[in-house]
Amino acid sequence: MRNPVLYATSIICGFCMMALEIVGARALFPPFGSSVDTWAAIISVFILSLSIGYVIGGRIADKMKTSQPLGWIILLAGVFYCLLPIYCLAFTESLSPDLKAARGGVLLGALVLFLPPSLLLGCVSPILVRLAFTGADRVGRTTGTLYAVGSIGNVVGILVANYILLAYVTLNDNLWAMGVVLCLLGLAHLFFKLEAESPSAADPLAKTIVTGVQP
Amino acid sequence: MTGRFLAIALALAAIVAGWIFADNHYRLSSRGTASDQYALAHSESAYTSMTFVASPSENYLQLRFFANVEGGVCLRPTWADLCALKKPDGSPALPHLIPAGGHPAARAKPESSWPASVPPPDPGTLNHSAYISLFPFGLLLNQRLMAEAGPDPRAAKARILVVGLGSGVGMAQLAHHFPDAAIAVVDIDQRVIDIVRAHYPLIDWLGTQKTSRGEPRLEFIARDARQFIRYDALERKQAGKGFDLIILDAYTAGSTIPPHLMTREFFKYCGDALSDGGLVLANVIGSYGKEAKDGSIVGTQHRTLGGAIRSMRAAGLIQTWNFPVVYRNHQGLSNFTEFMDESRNNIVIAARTPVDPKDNSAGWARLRAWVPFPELKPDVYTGSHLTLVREGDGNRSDLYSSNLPTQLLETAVPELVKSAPATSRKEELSQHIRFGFEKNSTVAERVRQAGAALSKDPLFADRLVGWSSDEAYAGISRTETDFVRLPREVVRISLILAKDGQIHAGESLVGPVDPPGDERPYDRDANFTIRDAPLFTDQKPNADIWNR
Repeated sequence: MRNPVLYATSIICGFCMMALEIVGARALFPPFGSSVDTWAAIISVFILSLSIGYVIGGRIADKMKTSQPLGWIILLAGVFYCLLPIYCLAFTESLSPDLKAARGGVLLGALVLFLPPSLLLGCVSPILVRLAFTGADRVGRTTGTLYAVGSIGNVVGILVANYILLAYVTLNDNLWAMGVVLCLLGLAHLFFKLEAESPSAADPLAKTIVTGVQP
Repeated sequence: MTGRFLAIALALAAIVAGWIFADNHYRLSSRGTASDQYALAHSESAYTSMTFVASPSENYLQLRFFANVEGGVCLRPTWADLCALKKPDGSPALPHLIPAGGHPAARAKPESSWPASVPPPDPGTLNHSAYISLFPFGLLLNQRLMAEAGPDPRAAKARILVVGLGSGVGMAQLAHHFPDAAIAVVDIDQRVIDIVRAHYPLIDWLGTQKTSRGEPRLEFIARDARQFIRYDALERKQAGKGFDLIILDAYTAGSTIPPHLMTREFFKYCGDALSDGGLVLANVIGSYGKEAKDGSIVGTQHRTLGGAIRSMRAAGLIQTWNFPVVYRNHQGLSNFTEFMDESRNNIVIAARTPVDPKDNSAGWARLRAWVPFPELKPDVYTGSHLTLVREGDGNRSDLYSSNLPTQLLETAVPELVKSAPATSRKEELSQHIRFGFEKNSTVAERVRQAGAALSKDPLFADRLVGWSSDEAYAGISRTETDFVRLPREVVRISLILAKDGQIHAGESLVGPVDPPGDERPYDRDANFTIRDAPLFTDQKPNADIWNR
């Protein structure tokens, strides 16, 4: 059960992350236009938040004993998704006309709107690696598989958001529905905790003991 | 355990709050806009969030992309009104707009928020947006087409391609004036086509009609315009059905022209798809730019306009002319230097054949003789509203309330009619717009209170801004627009302004044509108006920051 759960988490978080990038870009078009400036801003904000998220997530991963922090992180991301429909338009409209016209204004808009949720989702990968860790001899394979699975989630998120969600679901409902999914996923991790293996699990003897208590 | 409860509570709170308090994508109340605005329909697509918004008192039905107005049509005259118009001999004045076999209603019902007491719109062809009035120029300047049409330009069997549907008003107006025109409209967004066809019955009906040559009077194509022009339009030309006029009016949800529809290469494809004597007519928002003391040009808006004209000329559409769209005289005729710097709609005409008053004098004679909507009488189809003004005498920047219907408040406070008659503010002011002003007085205060009382009326609920405020106000401004005079005034004023080739000819604006495949060097001492006009190419397109 352990790996499918981790893969599913990775796919859902990857999906929501990139779907937010596509859907969120459209929220920036009305105040800032749909030029390459807007895309540059949104892509850089998402990559930046990934990079910060990796650092923070890595620290958390080393300290945690169970998947509880993961649950909180995903839940918080879900909360941001759910609330974006409330403050997204109000925030962009409150910016001064000068700021909207300036080329850098869109960067500020993207930072405020999308940095928090995407940063939280950026924390997820290192934590998943830690949870999937079963031994130093398999660390490459484990991380590689998780990254691949997460990237598939990214790709599916982009394509589904572009071809289906944007065409048939309103912007607000898109964000809200992804928020609900993330909240539920976060709660699931809080209620059905996965134990993180202690570093000594690399020891073959300890490993058998630990696997014995895996859910 | 508390942690889990906290988590559930947080998740539930966020989910419920997000669902209940989600913001609308459109605003129906703000300063300076009508308080009787109702959403007729709302739809979302991959490109935009669109809302059809109607205001009975200001006589418009506008399609908005997010908050930007992308063209509007007058609610009155309705399509039924146009069908009922008679010539002096009793025959129908507009037979080409009369549907055989009953008057079709809109295909879709209005939004649930639409008030039951207001009938669903059935707009006719009269434009509420000023720049649309100049669309016929593209046909009137076409020498080959007009020679074939004979003495009456309206008989032209024109093939017209319009890029960007908007509210559909541009096509409705062309169909009004040119009964035998075959109009194809290409829009990237199927949802825009759907919402317009569902709620604008006349446009939907035109889509089912044929010209005398058996071609559709209005054809809807959901496609990227560049793809359509490059391949399909070229194919039509090779089949002997080239377009006599291509109207470029595509704007993104952020109100900028898509960069790939503004390059030398794109304009080349347009030129290739035109029939003999054909023209391109582009709606470009921009200015001529104000000159600073050191000779440089202030601002960036002029670069969009200059870039479009320079790139058209580089694409072989060498004959270019700009018609600035001015619908208030005080912005144009009396203060020309200020007008040069002002951002506005511009109708740029580009062709391989002459478009200037000297070499195309017959065309310009047709422009001068052109009367938009000759069948309609002035003073009938108007819009009128009252607005609270903070200071001064009703200048637009001082408005601080939403607008309310004049008629309604005049009924409540009859003295207002006598105290604030709407008059032209200046002698030279154009004839379609009239102002009145009532200073803060007993009458004004009673009007304000009558306005504030409307907040209890379900037709205005939550839409009133400023009327019940305690903020001191200078008075009440009243604006009346005559929408039959509007297109006539736009044509008249634009022609007065644009006839001076020293200013408005492409050569005077952006200088000599760039050599094929190359770019002429920058000359800061050149004597044309927009010296820093960029050349937009596929390699170096408009970064579309200059559009806004």
